[in-house]
Amino acid sequence: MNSLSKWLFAVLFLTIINLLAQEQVQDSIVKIQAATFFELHAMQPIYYGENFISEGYDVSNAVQIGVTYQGFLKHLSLHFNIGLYSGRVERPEIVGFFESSQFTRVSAGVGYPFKITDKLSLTPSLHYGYVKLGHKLREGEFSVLENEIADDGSFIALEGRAHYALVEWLEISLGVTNYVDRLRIEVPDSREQFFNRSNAIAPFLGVRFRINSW
Amino acid sequence: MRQRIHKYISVAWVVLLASCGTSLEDNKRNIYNVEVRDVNDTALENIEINVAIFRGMTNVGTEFPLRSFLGFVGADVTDNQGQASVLSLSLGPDNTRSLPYVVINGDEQVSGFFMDNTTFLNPEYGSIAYEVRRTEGNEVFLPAVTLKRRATLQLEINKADVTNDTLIYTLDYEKDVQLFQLGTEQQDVLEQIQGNVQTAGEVVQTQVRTLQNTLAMFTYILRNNGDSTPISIEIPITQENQVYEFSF
Repeated sequence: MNSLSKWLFAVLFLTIINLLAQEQVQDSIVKIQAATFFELHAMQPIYYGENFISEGYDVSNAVQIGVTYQGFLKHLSLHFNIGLYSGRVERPEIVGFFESSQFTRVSAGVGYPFKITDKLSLTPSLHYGYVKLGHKLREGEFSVLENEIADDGSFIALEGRAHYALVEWLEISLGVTNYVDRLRIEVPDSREQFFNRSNAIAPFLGVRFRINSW
Repeated sequence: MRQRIHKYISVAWVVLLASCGTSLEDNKRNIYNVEVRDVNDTALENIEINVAIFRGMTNVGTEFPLRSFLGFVGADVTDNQGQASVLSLSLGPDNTRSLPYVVINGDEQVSGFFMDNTTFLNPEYGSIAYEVRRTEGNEVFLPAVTLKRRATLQLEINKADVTNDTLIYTLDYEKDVQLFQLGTEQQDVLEQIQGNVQTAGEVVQTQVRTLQNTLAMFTYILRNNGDSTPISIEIPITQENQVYEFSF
């Protein structure tokens, strides 16, 4: 099964689960209130599969900040996120001659939130974004090469998250995001797959603040 | 004197070149495929291969290479088959005066002005570097590399008290650091020293760094009242410390 089929299957599966869940808890569902949230998450990306990041990096914790608008087309939520983390290159012979890299993800997404109770809500969402790996060269004693080099590309991400309201304006977030990256690194054909596709799953924990609601 | 001026100009040139930065290309990697064997055709494992960027004029084989080292962009070691596919970063398209060099068993000195200061990562063997043209594409296959063991050749010339002849000599030998341009026909990289012996009873000793399984060529002219024909003597380098004595 290729990755596109996997994605379609996953989206379909989550949609069905949502609809069923919504059906079952319909009586208790409180109508989603339109609101805007500011979010702050700590996450740990875990790369998997055969790619240069999973096999050559030690990836740090990530910080993700975002804004969510809930109530788009009545039932949907819109997400704008920026994620930042770094990775130490453990095997430069398979990654490139770098010391470390700074990962930056910028994405927009759409979700389908539904409220289980007054305090608990679940939101599956789908995101599309831009990812950049800014590299720091391994500098030798006499090196004068300019230290600005980057790889970049796009990604899609599937996310599931739960929010629990502590008070009216503050919620705890817990979730997991699966990233599928398509980088555009020019390499010989024999290593194209290894460099241009990477996958990461990132569990996260954080808070979100209700900015306003209506 | 002329050589000294040339040397100073070369150093100034290297410093000037090194003071300017060079950019690398985003979203690009190159691969250099290398196979390293010894003179018995046995694969050499754990030989370090570096890809370095040098900037400057291309003048392989001249006495004063006008190149400056800018930095390493790739490194790997050979496997038990003596093979390595070295992943390297790529030069930006605007760096027309910089070139990558694949350096086998050597450090940043190997292609530069201070070539004789090269550190041999495996001290038993000599070092070889290939200058790679940009037209080679992003996957480059180097010719099979034969690394030879290092050696020293000590030349000792003794002049007898009774002769009035003057000996003028040259010694040609393979250096333990060799530089080739990829795509051109490989040639032995010969180094030459020269001198003369004219004082009765004089003993001249000189030592050079060379490679085992090579031939050094000692060529001399004995000059008294007129010119004489040069005579060449082959000196096979068969051991780590080779001594050759010549008396006249």
